[in-house]
Amino acid sequence: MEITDEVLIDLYKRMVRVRLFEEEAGRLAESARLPGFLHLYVGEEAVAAGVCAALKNEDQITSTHRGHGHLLAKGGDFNRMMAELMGKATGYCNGKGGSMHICDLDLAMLGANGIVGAGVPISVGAAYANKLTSNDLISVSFFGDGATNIGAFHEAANMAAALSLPMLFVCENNEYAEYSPRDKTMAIADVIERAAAYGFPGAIVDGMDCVAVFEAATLAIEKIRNGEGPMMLECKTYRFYDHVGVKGTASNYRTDEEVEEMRKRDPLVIHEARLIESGVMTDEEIKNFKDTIQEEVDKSVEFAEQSPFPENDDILLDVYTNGGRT
Amino acid sequence: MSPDNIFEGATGSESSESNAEERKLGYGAAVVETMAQIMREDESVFLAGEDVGAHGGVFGYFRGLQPEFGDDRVVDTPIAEQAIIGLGIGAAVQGLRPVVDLMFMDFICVAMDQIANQAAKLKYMFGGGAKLPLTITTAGGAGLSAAAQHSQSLEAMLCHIPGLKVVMPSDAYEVKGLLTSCIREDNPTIFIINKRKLADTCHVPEELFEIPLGEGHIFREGSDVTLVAIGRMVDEARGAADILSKEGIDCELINPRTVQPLDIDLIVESVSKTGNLVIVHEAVRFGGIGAEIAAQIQEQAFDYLDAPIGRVAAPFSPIPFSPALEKLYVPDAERIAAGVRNLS
Amino acid sequence: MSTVGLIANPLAGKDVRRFVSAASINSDRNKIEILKRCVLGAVDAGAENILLAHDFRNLSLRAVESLNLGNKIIEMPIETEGNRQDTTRAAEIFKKEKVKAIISLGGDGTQRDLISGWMDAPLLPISTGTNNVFPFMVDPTVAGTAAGLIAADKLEIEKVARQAKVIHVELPNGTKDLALVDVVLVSERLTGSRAVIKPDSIKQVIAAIANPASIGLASIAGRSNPVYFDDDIAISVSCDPDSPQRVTSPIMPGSVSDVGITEIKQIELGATINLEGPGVLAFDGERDFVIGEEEIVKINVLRNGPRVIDPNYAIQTAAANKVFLREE
Repeated sequence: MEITDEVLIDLYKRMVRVRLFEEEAGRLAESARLPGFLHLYVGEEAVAAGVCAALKNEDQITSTHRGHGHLLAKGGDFNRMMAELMGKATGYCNGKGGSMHICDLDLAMLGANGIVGAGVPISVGAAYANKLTSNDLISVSFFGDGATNIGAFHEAANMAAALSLPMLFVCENNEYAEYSPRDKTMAIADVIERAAAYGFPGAIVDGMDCVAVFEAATLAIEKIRNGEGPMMLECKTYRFYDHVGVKGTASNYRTDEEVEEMRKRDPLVIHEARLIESGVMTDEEIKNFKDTIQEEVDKSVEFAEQSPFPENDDILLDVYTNGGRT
Repeated sequence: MSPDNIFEGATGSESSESNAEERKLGYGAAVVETMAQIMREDESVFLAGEDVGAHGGVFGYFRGLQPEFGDDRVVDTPIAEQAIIGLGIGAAVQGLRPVVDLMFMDFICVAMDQIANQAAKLKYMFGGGAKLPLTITTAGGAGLSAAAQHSQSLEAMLCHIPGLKVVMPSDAYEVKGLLTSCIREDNPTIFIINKRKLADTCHVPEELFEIPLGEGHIFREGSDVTLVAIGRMVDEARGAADILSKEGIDCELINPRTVQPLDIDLIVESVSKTGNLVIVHEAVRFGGIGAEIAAQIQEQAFDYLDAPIGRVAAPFSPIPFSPALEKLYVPDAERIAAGVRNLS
Repeated sequence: MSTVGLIANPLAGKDVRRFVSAASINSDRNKIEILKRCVLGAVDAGAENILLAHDFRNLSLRAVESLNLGNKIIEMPIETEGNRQDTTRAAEIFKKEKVKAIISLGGDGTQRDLISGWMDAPLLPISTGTNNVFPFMVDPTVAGTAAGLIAADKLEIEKVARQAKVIHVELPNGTKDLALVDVVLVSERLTGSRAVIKPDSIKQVIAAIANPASIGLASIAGRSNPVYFDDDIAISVSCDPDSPQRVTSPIMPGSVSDVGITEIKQIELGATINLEGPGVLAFDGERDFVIGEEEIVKINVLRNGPRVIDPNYAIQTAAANKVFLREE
């Protein structure tokens, strides 16, 4: 695991793609140009970037209701994603899943999930398939600290351990379960203590530092691929926007000062400073890169807005495989 | 509970009545035979669930599979119904054909998120990209004094969820044909094994064969009344038809075999001939599958009906433990016959 | 006042070394139970007060909440940030309050943070970290008793404590830092996940304590040329993965590496030696500071560190002095 210039740039690009896409999605939501709920990942980019950069393309991931970041960090397409957020036929799910069900099976991204914790057992299944077919792949489940209070997580953690499956549990501990602080909803602070309870190792890493996440994920993944069973990586992170949308009204579950304080640890800012300081990228290159990505984001908005909504008949399409219609 | 005994003696096909043309096999034995044959021909099939391996399932209908296929393909899981279904979903999305067992149908409630919100909806939510060749086997039905949490028939709940197929074999022949179809099917199916049927034998072909999902079966032709019976109720309805034939009432008995999708056309056709319909199921009457069938028949065959549609089903209570009460709870031939006589 | 100071680092024993070595997790619950036993031991031994440093997980508060010790417990609120400065700030207050003994839960890194706030603190360190060269593996009841006896003047600290060496570091930007066990230059470019896990990345080890029986980077020096707590000397070992000269060293728990070494040099106390970049400087096992090309780090080792209380020796001394005996 060499932290080469290429790795540093790659991590940066993954994070910028997530950030700029989501900031745009946030603006669109605020101006009521997106239907439905929007759970933004902004602030947590280092986790998705660090973990996905350490994976093979074919390694499966399951995601959460806050899933845009995971798919984009794994290489997701802006156009299909933006179109899906607008409920258009050209979207990732033909407009029928929306933000909470974003998926790309070609990228082995087995779906965001509207049910907290529900992706974890599905990752167990993917990991089991990997084990049974000896395909040398691992599955990764991203979940939040809040998800570790739900039964599905515990069943999945126990089963993955009992069956010694090639699976990485990635806890994005952003300290809030929706609008409830972690210390009100659990009596422990570090989710890796739950891994220990099920008999597999876990480690904590700074989830605002993409290099730290990448290093830690790489170390764990090597062991997991080597047949050592599941592991848990707990990334201490923070979301800059609200549970849903950008800034909730009458939200007093956390203070603006706290958010401002955490924004000083913005994973992009930290990494940009590092890139410049170590001469890997210049100011100019960073600006140009961001401009290019922003252009792609802008084009995706245009693409999505010009795309048609699904046909009325499509309401019955894909309920079942074979024939497709009920 | 230890219901193994009801299955003992029926695992083999060496019944004294069997001969080359009429090979007989038990209902439970048909499960294990089908599983073994499919697992031999298709490496992507594996079985996972509580006690399915070393113990061969609490009813014994997976017995012998783990010795033949090993513990990677016949997986003893923790008691964790959500994770068992999740295991199946994740593996199915990866292209395998998992069969996951939930032991008792009542436990479906424990796993409902994974079944209703995940398995049923993945394909649709994902815009059609996902295939989900997942079979969930589970034992339903009352009659063993297993009380309120080990006896239910919850098929109506499952039929209400788009994306699932719900299959209820009424005899060993159907077990083999329908289970084969379920496992080869690219959609999530729930295969409901009736635990009072396990020892019953009937003719079952040696080779694998498929019974198409969504096609009902006319068990017996008749001209006066259409009886639609689901799962084990086919046996009771047959008894009722025998009783009624002595009274000069000629019943046509239809076994839908799958309740989602439902072969409503077959029922419409029959009702348009007989003019009368009685629906029989073990589940409670209120909101049961009978209500759906009745609604569709009045939509599609109202003009043919000579009388209001009758329903014979369980009362609106949890399933009682006491054998005396449970006997009252589950419809039998006499009650079905009475239901037919009551058509006015 | 006969006061014992108490502090725990909630993050000790939870880093990435749990993936790559056989290091075990040290849970909050375990730390709370250790703290409880320390408090009970100390109070029983005669400590009038326990000065309880807040930590960002409230481990210390949770430890005493069920003990009903009333006004024996004095809370010491600190603006915690969840980083190493929490420990340093606590030590500064301990110093101001003149506590007679500090019990500190953590690994080598935690003790380093503590002495950054009080260099010659009266310190009884208990190991709950990953690398534990400096802190003791001891039953916390015994540790609490030792600290309590000292606080209650039933034992003289001069008789049972020994002053530790400190590795003083002047970074290229002029700031000062320090370590208790080792300072290591590694050929990495970033602090990353902080732990030093690649044996081939190790360029130079400076160790104040190089015990061949210890775990961590200092074991490279310890197994090349041991230097013990009381030796008035430090050691520098230069490493090169291609060197034919090898030393097997457990650089992490359960993880023994074959490290190539080129030069072993003794360092006199007070002598200055230079390390040259590029690389990352690890302090007591954690990558902490990036050194640029041709940048120089100045190091010297002095015996001006914490007065370390050996709990076993303290209890033995107390027993010899018949401290535990009493007439009814």
